[in-house]
Amino acid sequence: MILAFVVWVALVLHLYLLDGVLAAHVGVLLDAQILLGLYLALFVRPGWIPPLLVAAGLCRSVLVEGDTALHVLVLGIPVAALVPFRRVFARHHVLWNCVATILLGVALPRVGGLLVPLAPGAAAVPAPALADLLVLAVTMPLALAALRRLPPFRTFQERSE
Amino acid sequence: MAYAPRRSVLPVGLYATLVAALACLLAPQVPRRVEDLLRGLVVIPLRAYSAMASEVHATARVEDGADAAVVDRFLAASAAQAARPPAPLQARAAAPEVCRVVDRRSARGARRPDVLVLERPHAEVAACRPEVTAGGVLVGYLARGGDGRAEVELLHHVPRGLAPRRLPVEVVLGDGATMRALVEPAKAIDPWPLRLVLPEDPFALRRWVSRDLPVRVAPPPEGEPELVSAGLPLGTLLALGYETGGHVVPIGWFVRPDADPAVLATVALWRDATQGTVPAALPPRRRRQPVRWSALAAPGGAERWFVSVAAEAGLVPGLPLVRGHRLLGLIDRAGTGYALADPVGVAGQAWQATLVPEEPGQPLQDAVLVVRAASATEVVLEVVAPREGLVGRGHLLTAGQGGLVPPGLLLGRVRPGDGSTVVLERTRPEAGMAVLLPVREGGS
Repeated sequence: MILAFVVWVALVLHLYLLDGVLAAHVGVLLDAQILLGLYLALFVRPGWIPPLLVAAGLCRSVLVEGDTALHVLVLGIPVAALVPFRRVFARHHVLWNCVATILLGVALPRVGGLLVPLAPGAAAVPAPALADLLVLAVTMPLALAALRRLPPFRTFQERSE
Repeated sequence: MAYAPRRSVLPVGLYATLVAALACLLAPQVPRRVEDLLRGLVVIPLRAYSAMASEVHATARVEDGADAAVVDRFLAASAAQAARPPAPLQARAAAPEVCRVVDRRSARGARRPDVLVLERPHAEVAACRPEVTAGGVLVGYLARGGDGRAEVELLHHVPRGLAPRRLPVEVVLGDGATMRALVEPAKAIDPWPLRLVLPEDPFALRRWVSRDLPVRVAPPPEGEPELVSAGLPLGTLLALGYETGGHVVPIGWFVRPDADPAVLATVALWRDATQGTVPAALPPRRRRQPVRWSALAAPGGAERWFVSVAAEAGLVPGLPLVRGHRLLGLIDRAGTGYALADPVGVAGQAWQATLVPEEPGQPLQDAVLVVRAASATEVVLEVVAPREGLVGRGHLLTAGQGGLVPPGLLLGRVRPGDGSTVVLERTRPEAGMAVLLPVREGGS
C-alpha cells in the first residue's frame, strides 16, 4: 500500500506536468484537477480520500502558487460535495461522469476564486470557456477510465457491489 | 463489469481534512516546516530531470563582450547623468557621490513613493550635504540617522509626527524677474506632488498662468543658515484652475518635479570639498551560485523553471537568475536546495528599467514597465511611466527594481511597439545559469 501511494504521488506530479505541456502545445484536452476530482469523488475508498487529496495538493503546490492547504481546499471542497452522491454519478451511464466533469469544471475555479484572498501570493485560476468545458466533458471520463486501470489508481478504488 | 459503489458515504475524514486545511491556510506558519519537508520529497523526480537536462558551469560566469559593453555604457552614463553638477554645487566645489536606488517606499495611503532607499550604507554617506540631486535637479533630502541603507526623503515626504517641510523657492517669471514663495508637499489627491504657497505677489503671478515657469531654491532669509544650496532647480510651476472666457483663473499652484521620482534609478549626494573623498567603487555584495535547471509547464501552460543547487544556498523568492550580464528570470518559490522560477516575461511582471539607446550620445531613459503579453521570442511591455513613453531602440536594463534584483542587469534588446508599448527580444536560457545571492555584510 505504501509503495502504491508513493507511485501514485509520482504519477500525480507528472499528471500536472502533462496538463501544462498539453495546455502549452495542444490546447485544453486534459485538466488534472478535474481528473483527480472525479477520481477522488467517485471511485476512491472513503478512507483513502484524505491522504490522496493532501498528496494531490502537495504536488500542485510544487508547480502553482499557493500553499498545500489552499490546493487541498480548492480540490477538496467540490470533492466533498460530490462524494455523498457517488452512487448517482458513478453507477449509471457514462453521461453522469460527463455531468460530474462539468460540475467540477465550474466549481473548481469558483472555489479557488473564493479562497485565493486568504492566501497571499496565490493567483486564481481562470474558469474554462464553455467550449473547453464540453471538450473536457468528453475527454475526462475517457482519460479516467484508462487511468483507473493503472495499478496505483486501481489500488485505492472502492470495490463494486 | 460496470463500476457500482457499495453505498452512499458521508466522508467524515474528508471533512476533517478540509477543516484542518482551512486552519493551516489561516495560520500558515504552523505547517510550513512539515510542508517544506514533504515538498522536498515530491520534487525528487524534478531534481533528477534538472540534473539530466543541464550542466553546471564551475564558475557560472559567462562572458559576453557585447552585453558587457552595454552594461558598462549604462553604468558610466547613469553615473554621469546623476552627477551632473548643478551650478550652485559647482560653486561650492562639492564632489558627487553617485548612488543607485535599490528600493522606494510610500507612506501609508500615499500613491506616490516618497522615500528612495539607496544601495550604500548610511554610515558611508552620513557626512554628505543634505540636498540630493538627479540630473542637476533637486529631488530630496538625505535622511539623517539610521544604521541601515541610506535613504532620500523626497521633497513631498512628510516626516511621521512632524509638520511638513516648507522650502523657500523663487519662481522665474516670463520677463526674467523672480518671485519668492514657499513649496510644501501637496495632498495625496492633488495631481502633482508639490504645492506652491504664499507667493510674494499672487496677482502678478496670475499674469504668467499660461506659461510653465521654472522654480528653484531661494536663498534663506537673512541671518538664517542655508540648509539647501540656493539656485538648485526643482521643477516647473503649473496652475490649476477654471477656464473662463479663454483664460484660466488659477485656484492652486503646483510644482511638477523635473526629475520623476517614480523612475529615478540613480541619484547624486554631494560632499563638500573639505570633507575628503570615499572610495567610488563599492565592494560586490552578491555572488553567483551555479544552478541546474529544467523547463517545465505548470498547469495552465505557463513556462516555469525548476532550479536546483548543489549546496544549501539560501534560495529565497525574488532572487534573480542570470547568465553573464543577462537577467533570465526570478525565483518564485524556494525550498531547501531547489526553487521554481518564472522567466522574464510573465504577464503582470513589473520592471523598473533604464533604456540605453543604440544611438551613441543619446541620454538614458528611465521607465516603469509592465508585461502585457509574451510569445516564445518576444515580450510586449507597456510603459507605465513616463507618460510620454520610451523613444527609439536600445537595450533595457534593470534599475532600482528594489528587493533582490540589482541595477544593471540586462533584460534584452527593445524596439518600439504599438502605442505606449515596447517589444523586448526574449533571451532563452542556456547553460551557465546562476543565481545571484546576496552576501551578508562582512561575509565572503
